[in-house]
Amino acid sequence: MTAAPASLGRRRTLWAGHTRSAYALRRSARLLVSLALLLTATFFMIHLVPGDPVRAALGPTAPASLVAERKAALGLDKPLVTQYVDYIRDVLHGDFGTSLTSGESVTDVIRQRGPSTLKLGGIAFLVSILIAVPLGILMAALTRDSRRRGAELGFTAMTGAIAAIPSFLIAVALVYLFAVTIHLFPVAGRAGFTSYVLPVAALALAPIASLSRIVRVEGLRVLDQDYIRTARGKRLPARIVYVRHALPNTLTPTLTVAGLLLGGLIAGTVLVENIFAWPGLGTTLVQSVAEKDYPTVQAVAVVFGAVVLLANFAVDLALGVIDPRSTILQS
Amino acid sequence: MRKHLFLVIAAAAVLLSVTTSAIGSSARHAAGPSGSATLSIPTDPGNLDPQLTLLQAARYVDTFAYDTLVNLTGPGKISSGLAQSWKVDSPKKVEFTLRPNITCSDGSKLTASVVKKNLDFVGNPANKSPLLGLFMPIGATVTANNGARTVVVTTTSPNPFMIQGLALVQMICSKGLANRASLDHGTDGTGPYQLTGAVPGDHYTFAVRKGYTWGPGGATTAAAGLPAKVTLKVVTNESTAANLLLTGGLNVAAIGGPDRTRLNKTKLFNIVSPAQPNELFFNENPGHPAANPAVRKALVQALNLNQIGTVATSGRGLKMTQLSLQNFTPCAGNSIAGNVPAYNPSAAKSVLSGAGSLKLLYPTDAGPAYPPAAELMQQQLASAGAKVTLDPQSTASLQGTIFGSGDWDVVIIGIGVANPAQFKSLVSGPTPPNGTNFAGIANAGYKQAVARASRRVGVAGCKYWLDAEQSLFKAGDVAPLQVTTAATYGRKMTFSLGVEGPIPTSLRLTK
Repeated sequence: MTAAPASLGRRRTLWAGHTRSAYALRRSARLLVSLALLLTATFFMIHLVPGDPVRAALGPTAPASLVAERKAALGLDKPLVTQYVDYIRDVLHGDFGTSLTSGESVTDVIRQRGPSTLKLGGIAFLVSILIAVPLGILMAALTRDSRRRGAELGFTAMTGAIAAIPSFLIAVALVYLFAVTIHLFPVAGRAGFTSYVLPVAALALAPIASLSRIVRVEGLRVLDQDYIRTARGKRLPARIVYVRHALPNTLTPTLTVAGLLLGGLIAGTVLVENIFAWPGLGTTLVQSVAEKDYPTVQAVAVVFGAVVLLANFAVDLALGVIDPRSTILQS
Repeated sequence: MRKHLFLVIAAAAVLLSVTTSAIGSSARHAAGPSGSATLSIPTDPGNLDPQLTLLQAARYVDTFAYDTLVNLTGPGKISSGLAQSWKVDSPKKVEFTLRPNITCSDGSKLTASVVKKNLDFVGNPANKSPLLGLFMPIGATVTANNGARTVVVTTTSPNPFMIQGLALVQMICSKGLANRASLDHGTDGTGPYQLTGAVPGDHYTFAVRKGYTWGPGGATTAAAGLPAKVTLKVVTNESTAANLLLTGGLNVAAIGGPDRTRLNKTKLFNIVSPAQPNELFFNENPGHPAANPAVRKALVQALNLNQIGTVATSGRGLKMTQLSLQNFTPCAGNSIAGNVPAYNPSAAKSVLSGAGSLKLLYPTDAGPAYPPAAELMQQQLASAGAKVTLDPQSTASLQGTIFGSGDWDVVIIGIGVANPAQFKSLVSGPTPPNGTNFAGIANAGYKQAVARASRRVGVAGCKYWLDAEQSLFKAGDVAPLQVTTAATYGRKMTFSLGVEGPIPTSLRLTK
């Protein structure tokens, strides 16, 4: 990270080709293994839960014959290994089975609800990055060389506190303040731009807080480097120093952490969607857990897990492009 | 590097502008006297085919688009629907006469033979309708006469509450019957409203139909104040529904939990209705302490059922009057008062101290009120000399225990049935895995009274059905707690409640 950004362009051509494609291959193999583990884990998680999902879904008044019939229809009377093989085969064919309660194809449900969750999560993720990175750099610039201790203390205390609050609590507080007390935004539902404000804020506030802390610390480290001193010595305008020389070198750790935060953000949508009556997968998950609709629970868990894995995969590939050293450090 | 950063920012900007322009156009539509209303449903209905689902939300959504032959309007009360008159000839035969000129939303006519096709579909086991055996008797024969507009349903074995069951079968029109797949996310019925839009997981919109005159008891869509447009919105979180009610985002929502406290402080119109009775069962299978009738009676005596019931329903419960849900049961009456062994812990002491250890099973995921109720029970039983261990389980696991391993002694459970006959297989007959008599109850008095009741038609048999329940309570086979309630609130709206929720033709916008 000591290299000046200007020299990165030439370096990249050096690493391009063999090393990077080998890295991409290696990383793809790891993704496949993770996905296989995810499928296996969700399968056994659901099937090893004690009790009878069919009886639970149908209720105590359902006749014994109906329960047996439904079990046979779902293949739950077969040995666990056969069920596992069937499950993997169906999933590879894009078939997640049928909902126990509504009788709908789970694949259809995911196709209908997935986009609204991705949209909400995606916007929250972009908003987090677009706010946290400038905020972190700004705070780093303001507080470098132990200047403005008051601002530093205020910033770290505030962001530390916000980062520690779960998103669903932030959501409840936001709804109380901005929708119930002052009618600034709608309480819930997806109808127009204003309806996005509170859910996105609820999801993004904690990631903004933790990410901007990382960016600030990274910024402080970078601002201490020789090439920044050189840049300043050349009397380059502050804008160039921060945006062109400092910012890109803070991106590697920022992206890595952002990738991890994305996982938390996706998990956060589950309860935040429920609070905002958002027609997405999070609402579906909460509803299906409450109704013991195991095929749906299993499929949504797989989808959420896969999104997190894919996001981290994308981040790693992006890192390989931005900071080619990461491709060899792992070999 | 700079190029990448630029690309990321540009992509972000494009994405943001696309999403905002896609969502920015729709405005918040006002509810109230403008002629539209928004009602909440607690879960997404999923498959809308009324004969292939039992999901409460789906059945409610379908009340807007579909009608039933007759309607249940209160304890022991039936009013007209698609059928203008009906005759219960015997426990094995029901005859309906349809109104003339019933039209479907596409303009076609609903004739007696279309009704027959509906009932034949539900009655055919190959179609796997969950309504079969629950609303529609198994092995029924249906005949129809288009000229006389009559539909006759006959069965080989007696079905005392056949008409109450058939009253819950929603009727589909010919086009939908011919193209079943079109009903998954669309509707084809005779109902007062017509589905105009569906966004699964979010909302369903309906527009009122003109010239509709065959609602419950002859209700029409000409009434003043009936909303012209109805939106059913999926709101899973009760606190969110309460917030939406308070801020005008919803006109109607049913709330079961603690949010009722703050809603009750406002002047919203509301109706409190029983949602689920809660009971105690005792494991009477061989090898369990409660197999001894004296122990069962002592267990009931040792418990302050009223107090436990209040805790189990978070103080929002109603007294139970019988095992069925009391608002729409065919049998008005009280089988509980004076029939449950009275609270008398000192009398229970001598029996319970020698009864051995008891395992108290209760669900952990059926609301926050069950665990404290179980702990209170443990306390009361312990002070009456019994040794009780708590066994909290998830509902799935709990049902696996009572219908499977059988390793339990006392269970707190909520079972809601529509009529006394539906309780029969839970408290008599074969035990699991061959049946659902999970507590292994063998109550001669119950069986005798049920045999008498089954020979009579519906309401005429009610006296015997209630007698049968009395013998269960007297013997300590079942102990009643309280009924969990739900309150349905209306903001700028009044309504009356049917079996599935606010009746579509009863919705009235108010100032």
